[in-house]
Amino acid sequence: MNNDKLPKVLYQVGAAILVSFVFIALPTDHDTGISLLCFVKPSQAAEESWKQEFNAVCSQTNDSMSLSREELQLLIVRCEKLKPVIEGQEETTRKVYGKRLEMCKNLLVFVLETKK
Amino acid sequence: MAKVVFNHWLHRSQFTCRVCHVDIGFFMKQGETRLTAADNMRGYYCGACHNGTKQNFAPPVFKACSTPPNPEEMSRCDRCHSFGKDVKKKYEFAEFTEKMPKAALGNGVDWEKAETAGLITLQDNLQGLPIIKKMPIQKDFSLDSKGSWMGDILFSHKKHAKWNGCELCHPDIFLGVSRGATKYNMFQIYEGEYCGVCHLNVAFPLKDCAKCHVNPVD
Repeated sequence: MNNDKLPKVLYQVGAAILVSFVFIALPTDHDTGISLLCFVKPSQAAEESWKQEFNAVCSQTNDSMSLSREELQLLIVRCEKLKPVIEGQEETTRKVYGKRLEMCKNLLVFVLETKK
Repeated sequence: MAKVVFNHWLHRSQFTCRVCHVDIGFFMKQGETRLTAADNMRGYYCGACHNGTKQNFAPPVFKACSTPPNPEEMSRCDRCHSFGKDVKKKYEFAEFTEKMPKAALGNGVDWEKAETAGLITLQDNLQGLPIIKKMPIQKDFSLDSKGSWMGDILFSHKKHAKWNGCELCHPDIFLGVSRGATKYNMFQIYEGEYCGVCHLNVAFPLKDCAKCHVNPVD
C-alpha cells in the first residue's frame, strides 16, 4: 500500500467506526433494529421537548405547598419561558396548553404569595 | 349530526374534576370549550380518552367519530350524538346508581359518600398527560356563618382537594391567600361565584344547607 494514502484510509475507517457507535448509542426499534433517529422529524423532537418541560413543571402543582420560595420562583420562570413556545403552536394546542399553563403559573404565584 | 348528550354523571363517577377541567382543558361552563371533532381526532378533549386504545384504566374507550364521519361508524357516533334519538345507552343512570348512597336533592346520588365508600374510584391521571404528584392531606377547617340562624361551616379542604386538585379553585375562584381573606356571602354564591361555581351546577346543591353548615347553632 502506498504510504501517502494510508492516513486517508485511516480517517475513513475512523469515521465509519464513529458513525457506527453513534447509531448504536441512539434509541433503536428492537423489532426492526432500525435507529429511531430516522423517524424523528426536528419539529416532532421540538414538540416533545416543550411538552416534557411543561409536564415537568405543571405536574408539581399538587405538591406546590411543600416547595420552597426559591423552587417556586424557578418554576414560575420556567412557566414564563414556556409561554411564547405554546403561543407559537397551532390553535387547539395553544388553547389547551395555554389555559393549563396559565392555571399552573397562577397557582404557583398564589402559593408563593402565601409564603411571604 | 345530532347534538351530543353528555353524561356528566357517568364521567364524574370515573374521574376527578381536575383531570377533565385542568389536564384536558374543558372549561367549567357549558359551551365555552368549543371543541371540534378534528380536535378529538388529534387526541384533545374527548379524544384524550375516546381514542379506541387502552388507557391506564380498563376497558378501552370507544373512539370519537371522524370528520367527516364514515358511514360504517355512524352507530358509534350516535353513542354521543344522541340528542332526540332513541339510542340504547351502555350505562343508564337509574341502573348505574341503583346501589349508590342516596341524597335528597341534586340528582339523588350522594357522590361524596359513594367515593368514600369505595363504590366509585376516581382516576386522576391519564396517559400522555402530566403525572400529578400526590397531594399532602389537607386539613379541614371551620368558617364562620354570617347568619345567626345558621350553624358554622365545616369546610372539607381534604375532599375538595381530592376531587379538584389545587388550581381548579386557586386562585381563579378563591383568591385569598389565607383563611378568611376572601370575603364572600350567599348572594354572591347564588350568583355563581365562589362555592356557586360548582354547587349551583354539578356538586350537591346550595339548598342542601346542612351539608356545609354542619355545626350546631349556638
